[in-house]
Amino acid sequence: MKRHVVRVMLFGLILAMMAGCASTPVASDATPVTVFEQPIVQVQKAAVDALVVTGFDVTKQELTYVEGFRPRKIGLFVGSGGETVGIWLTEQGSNQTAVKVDTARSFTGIVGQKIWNTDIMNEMTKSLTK
Amino acid sequence: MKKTILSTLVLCLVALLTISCASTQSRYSMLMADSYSAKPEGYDIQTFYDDDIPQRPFIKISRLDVHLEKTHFIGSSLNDALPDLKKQARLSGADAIIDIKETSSMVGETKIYHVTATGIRYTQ
Repeated sequence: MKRHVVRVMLFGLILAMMAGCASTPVASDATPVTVFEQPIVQVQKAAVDALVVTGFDVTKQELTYVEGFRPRKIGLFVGSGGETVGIWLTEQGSNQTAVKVDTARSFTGIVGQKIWNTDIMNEMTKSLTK
Repeated sequence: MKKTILSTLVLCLVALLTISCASTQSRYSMLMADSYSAKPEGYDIQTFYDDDIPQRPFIKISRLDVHLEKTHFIGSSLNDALPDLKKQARLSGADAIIDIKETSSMVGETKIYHVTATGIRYTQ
Protein backbone atom coordinates (compact mmCIF):
# COMPACT_ATOMS: atom_id res chain seq x y z
CA MET A 1 0.00 0.00 0.00
CA LYS A 2 2.82 2.35 1.01
CA ARG A 3 4.62 1.64 -2.29
CA HIS A 4 1.43 2.24 -4.20
CA VAL A 5 0.94 5.66 -2.54
CA VAL A 6 4.56 6.61 -3.31
CA ARG A 7 4.07 5.58 -6.97
CA VAL A 8 0.90 7.69 -7.22
CA MET A 9 2.69 10.69 -5.71
CA LEU A 10 5.63 10.22 -8.09
CA PHE A 11 3.27 10.04 -11.07
CA GLY A 12 1.54 13.21 -9.88
CA LEU A 13 4.90 14.97 -9.56
CA ILE A 14 5.99 13.94 -13.08
CA LEU A 15 2.62 15.05 -14.46
CA ALA A 16 2.92 18.43 -12.71
CA MET A 17 6.45 18.89 -14.09
CA MET A 18 5.29 18.00 -17.61
CA ALA A 19 2.37 20.40 -17.32
CA GLY A 20 4.85 23.15 -16.57
CA CYS A 21 6.56 22.65 -19.91
CA ALA A 22 4.92 24.90 -22.50
CA SER A 23 5.44 24.42 -26.22
CA THR A 24 6.73 27.18 -28.45
CA PRO A 25 4.64 28.62 -31.32
CA VAL A 26 6.22 28.47 -34.77
CA ALA A 27 5.62 30.67 -37.83
CA SER A 28 6.18 28.44 -40.84
CA ASP A 29 5.64 29.15 -44.54
CA ALA A 30 2.37 27.24 -44.24
CA THR A 31 1.01 29.61 -41.55
CA PRO A 32 -1.72 31.79 -43.12
CA VAL A 33 -0.89 35.47 -43.52
CA THR A 34 -3.40 38.27 -43.00
CA VAL A 35 -2.56 41.76 -44.19
CA PHE A 36 -3.98 44.81 -42.41
CA GLU A 37 -3.97 48.23 -44.05
CA GLN A 38 -2.62 49.83 -40.86
CA PRO A 39 0.81 50.90 -39.56
CA ILE A 40 2.70 48.23 -37.58
CA VAL A 41 2.37 50.18 -34.30
CA GLN A 42 -1.43 50.10 -34.52
CA VAL A 43 -1.47 46.42 -35.49
CA GLN A 44 0.88 45.51 -32.61
CA LYS A 45 -1.44 47.30 -30.19
CA ALA A 46 -4.41 45.39 -31.63
CA ALA A 47 -2.47 42.13 -31.22
CA VAL A 48 -1.86 42.86 -27.53
CA ASP A 49 -5.53 43.77 -27.04
CA ALA A 50 -6.60 40.54 -28.80
CA LEU A 51 -4.44 38.48 -26.43
CA VAL A 52 -5.96 40.24 -23.42
CA VAL A 53 -9.52 39.66 -24.67
CA THR A 54 -8.85 35.94 -25.19
CA GLY A 55 -7.40 35.52 -21.69
CA PHE A 56 -3.66 35.40 -22.39
CA ASP A 57 -1.01 36.89 -20.15
CA VAL A 58 1.21 38.92 -22.47
CA THR A 59 4.72 37.54 -21.97
CA LYS A 60 6.61 39.19 -24.86
CA GLN A 61 5.77 42.53 -26.41
CA GLU A 62 8.09 43.61 -29.19
CA LEU A 63 7.24 45.64 -32.30
CA THR A 64 7.45 42.59 -34.59
CA TYR A 65 6.52 39.82 -32.15
CA VAL A 66 3.94 39.43 -29.40
CA GLU A 67 3.54 36.31 -27.27
CA GLY A 68 1.01 35.26 -24.66
CA PHE A 69 0.38 32.35 -22.31
CA ARG A 70 -3.01 31.23 -21.00
CA PRO A 71 -2.96 30.42 -17.28
CA ARG A 72 -3.80 26.80 -16.44
CA LYS A 73 -7.00 25.96 -14.62
CA ILE A 74 -7.79 22.62 -13.08
CA GLY A 75 -11.28 21.30 -13.74
CA LEU A 76 -13.40 18.33 -12.84
CA PHE A 77 -12.54 16.54 -16.10
CA VAL A 78 -10.10 18.39 -18.33
CA GLY A 79 -9.52 21.94 -17.12
CA SER A 80 -8.11 24.44 -19.56
CA GLY A 81 -5.22 26.77 -20.31
CA GLY A 82 -1.54 26.15 -20.98
CA GLU A 83 -1.53 27.33 -24.60
CA THR A 84 1.14 29.71 -25.90
CA VAL A 85 0.33 32.02 -28.80
CA GLY A 86 2.85 33.82 -30.99
CA ILE A 87 1.91 36.75 -33.25
CA TRP A 88 4.43 37.80 -35.90
CA LEU A 89 4.17 41.24 -37.49
CA THR A 90 5.95 42.27 -40.68
CA GLU A 91 5.91 45.83 -41.93
CA GLN A 92 5.12 45.86 -45.67
CA GLY A 93 4.85 49.61 -46.06
CA SER A 94 4.04 52.62 -43.93
CA ASN A 95 0.36 51.60 -43.85
CA GLN A 96 0.47 47.85 -44.37
CA THR A 97 1.31 45.07 -41.92
CA ALA A 98 1.35 41.30 -42.46
CA VAL A 99 0.36 39.12 -39.50
CA LYS A 100 0.89 35.43 -38.71
CA VAL A 101 -0.59 33.73 -35.64
CA ASP A 102 0.28 30.30 -34.22
CA THR A 103 -0.96 28.47 -31.13
CA ALA A 104 1.27 25.91 -29.41
CA ARG A 105 -0.43 23.42 -27.12
CA SER A 106 1.47 21.66 -24.34
CA PHE A 107 1.79 17.88 -24.10
CA THR A 108 -0.39 17.51 -21.02
CA GLY A 109 -3.81 19.04 -20.83
CA ILE A 110 -4.11 19.10 -24.63
CA VAL A 111 -7.74 17.92 -24.33
CA GLY A 112 -8.75 21.19 -22.66
CA GLN A 113 -6.66 23.35 -24.98
CA LYS A 114 -7.74 25.21 -28.07
CA ILE A 115 -6.22 26.65 -31.24
CA TRP A 116 -6.79 30.38 -30.76
CA ASN A 117 -5.55 31.64 -34.16
CA THR A 118 -9.00 32.47 -35.59
CA ASP A 119 -10.30 34.09 -32.37
CA ILE A 120 -7.21 36.30 -32.16
CA MET A 121 -7.34 37.27 -35.82
CA ASN A 122 -11.07 38.09 -35.46
CA GLU A 123 -10.38 40.28 -32.41
CA MET A 124 -7.60 42.11 -34.25
CA THR A 125 -9.84 42.67 -37.28
CA LYS A 126 -12.59 43.96 -34.98
CA SER A 127 -10.39 46.52 -33.26
CA LEU A 128 -8.58 47.61 -36.45
CA THR A 129 -11.76 48.20 -38.45
CA LYS A 130 -13.48 50.29 -35.76
CA MET B 1 1.39 6.97 8.78
CA LYS B 2 -0.91 5.64 6.05
CA LYS B 3 -3.71 7.92 7.28
CA THR B 4 -1.40 10.95 7.28
CA ILE B 5 -0.38 10.37 3.66
CA LEU B 6 -3.98 9.88 2.59
CA SER B 7 -5.18 13.01 4.36
CA THR B 8 -2.30 14.99 2.84
CA LEU B 9 -3.26 13.78 -0.63
CA VAL B 10 -6.93 14.64 -0.07
CA LEU B 11 -5.93 18.07 1.26
CA CYS B 12 -3.75 18.70 -1.81
CA LEU B 13 -6.59 17.65 -4.12
CA VAL B 14 -9.07 19.95 -2.37
CA ALA B 15 -6.55 22.81 -2.46
CA LEU B 16 -5.91 22.27 -6.18
CA LEU B 17 -9.62 22.18 -6.98
CA THR B 18 -10.39 25.32 -5.02
CA ILE B 19 -7.32 27.41 -5.82
CA SER B 20 -6.58 26.67 -9.47
CA CYS B 21 -10.09 26.52 -10.93
CA ALA B 22 -10.55 30.26 -11.52
CA SER B 23 -8.50 33.11 -12.89
CA THR B 24 -8.99 36.87 -13.10
CA GLN B 25 -6.94 39.08 -15.40
CA SER B 26 -7.45 42.82 -15.58
CA ARG B 27 -5.62 45.78 -17.06
CA TYR B 28 -5.99 49.27 -18.44
CA SER B 29 -4.30 50.93 -21.39
CA MET B 30 -4.28 54.65 -22.05
CA LEU B 31 -5.98 55.85 -25.23
CA MET B 32 -3.77 58.93 -25.50
CA ALA B 33 -0.23 59.99 -24.72
CA ASP B 34 -1.32 61.90 -21.60
CA SER B 35 -1.28 60.06 -18.30
CA TYR B 36 -3.21 60.96 -15.18
CA SER B 37 -2.52 60.21 -11.55
CA ALA B 38 -4.50 57.31 -10.13
CA LYS B 39 -7.63 58.01 -8.14
CA PRO B 40 -7.43 57.06 -4.46
CA GLU B 41 -8.74 53.68 -3.32
CA GLY B 42 -12.40 53.99 -2.45
CA TYR B 43 -13.00 56.77 -5.00
CA ASP B 44 -16.51 56.29 -6.31
CA ILE B 45 -16.32 55.48 -10.02
CA GLN B 46 -19.61 56.17 -11.77
CA THR B 47 -20.84 53.43 -14.09
CA PHE B 48 -22.99 54.11 -17.17
CA TYR B 49 -24.68 51.08 -18.70
CA ASP B 50 -25.79 50.40 -22.28
CA ASP B 51 -25.62 53.57 -24.39
CA ASP B 52 -25.99 55.89 -21.41
CA ILE B 53 -23.37 58.65 -21.16
CA PRO B 54 -22.85 61.43 -18.60
CA GLN B 55 -24.38 64.86 -19.14
CA ARG B 56 -21.12 66.57 -18.14
CA PRO B 57 -18.42 67.06 -20.82
CA PHE B 58 -15.76 64.35 -20.75
CA ILE B 59 -12.86 62.80 -22.63
CA LYS B 60 -12.17 59.11 -23.18
CA ILE B 61 -8.85 58.32 -21.54
CA SER B 62 -8.49 54.55 -21.10
CA ARG B 63 -9.50 51.13 -22.31
CA LEU B 64 -10.39 48.77 -19.45
CA ASP B 65 -10.38 44.97 -19.66
CA VAL B 66 -11.41 42.33 -17.13
CA HIS B 67 -11.21 38.64 -18.02
CA LEU B 68 -12.71 35.93 -15.80
CA GLU B 69 -12.46 32.18 -16.31
CA LYS B 70 -13.93 29.48 -14.09
CA THR B 71 -13.90 25.73 -14.52
CA HIS B 72 -16.55 23.28 -13.18
CA PHE B 73 -19.11 24.92 -15.57
CA ILE B 74 -19.40 27.96 -13.26
CA GLY B 75 -20.21 31.20 -15.07
CA SER B 76 -19.36 34.83 -14.29
CA SER B 77 -21.33 38.04 -14.69
CA LEU B 78 -20.78 41.79 -14.79
CA ASN B 79 -21.27 41.91 -11.02
CA ASP B 80 -18.21 39.67 -10.60
CA ALA B 81 -16.13 41.85 -12.92
CA LEU B 82 -17.28 45.28 -11.72
CA PRO B 83 -14.92 45.62 -8.72
CA ASP B 84 -11.88 44.95 -10.96
CA LEU B 85 -13.26 47.18 -13.72
CA LYS B 86 -13.61 50.07 -11.25
CA LYS B 87 -10.15 49.37 -9.84
CA GLN B 88 -8.60 49.61 -13.33
CA ALA B 89 -10.59 52.81 -13.98
CA ARG B 90 -9.23 54.31 -10.73
CA LEU B 91 -5.67 53.29 -11.64
CA SER B 92 -5.98 54.99 -15.05
CA GLY B 93 -7.23 58.20 -13.42
CA ALA B 94 -10.80 57.92 -14.75
CA ASP B 95 -13.92 59.39 -13.12
CA ALA B 96 -16.43 57.06 -14.73
CA ILE B 97 -16.95 54.04 -16.97
CA ILE B 98 -18.92 53.96 -20.24
CA ASP B 99 -19.21 51.64 -23.31
CA ILE B 100 -19.41 48.40 -21.31
CA LYS B 101 -19.22 45.41 -23.69
CA GLU B 102 -19.51 41.82 -22.46
CA THR B 103 -18.56 38.60 -24.25
CA SER B 104 -18.93 35.02 -23.07
CA SER B 105 -17.62 31.73 -24.43
CA MET B 106 -16.66 28.27 -23.28
CA VAL B 107 -13.70 25.91 -23.66
CA GLY B 108 -14.50 22.43 -22.36
CA GLU B 109 -15.81 22.91 -18.84
CA THR B 110 -14.28 26.40 -18.53
CA LYS B 111 -16.67 29.32 -18.80
CA ILE B 112 -15.02 32.48 -20.11
CA TYR B 113 -16.35 35.97 -19.47
CA HIS B 114 -14.70 39.15 -20.75
CA VAL B 115 -15.73 42.74 -20.30
CA THR B 116 -14.25 45.73 -22.10
CA ALA B 117 -15.12 49.31 -21.19
CA THR B 118 -13.89 52.87 -21.60
CA GLY B 119 -12.61 55.01 -18.74
CA ILE B 120 -13.57 58.68 -19.02
CA ARG B 121 -12.50 61.84 -17.26
CA TYR B 122 -14.68 64.89 -16.74
CA THR B 123 -13.34 68.09 -18.25
CA GLN B 124 -15.57 70.40 -16.20
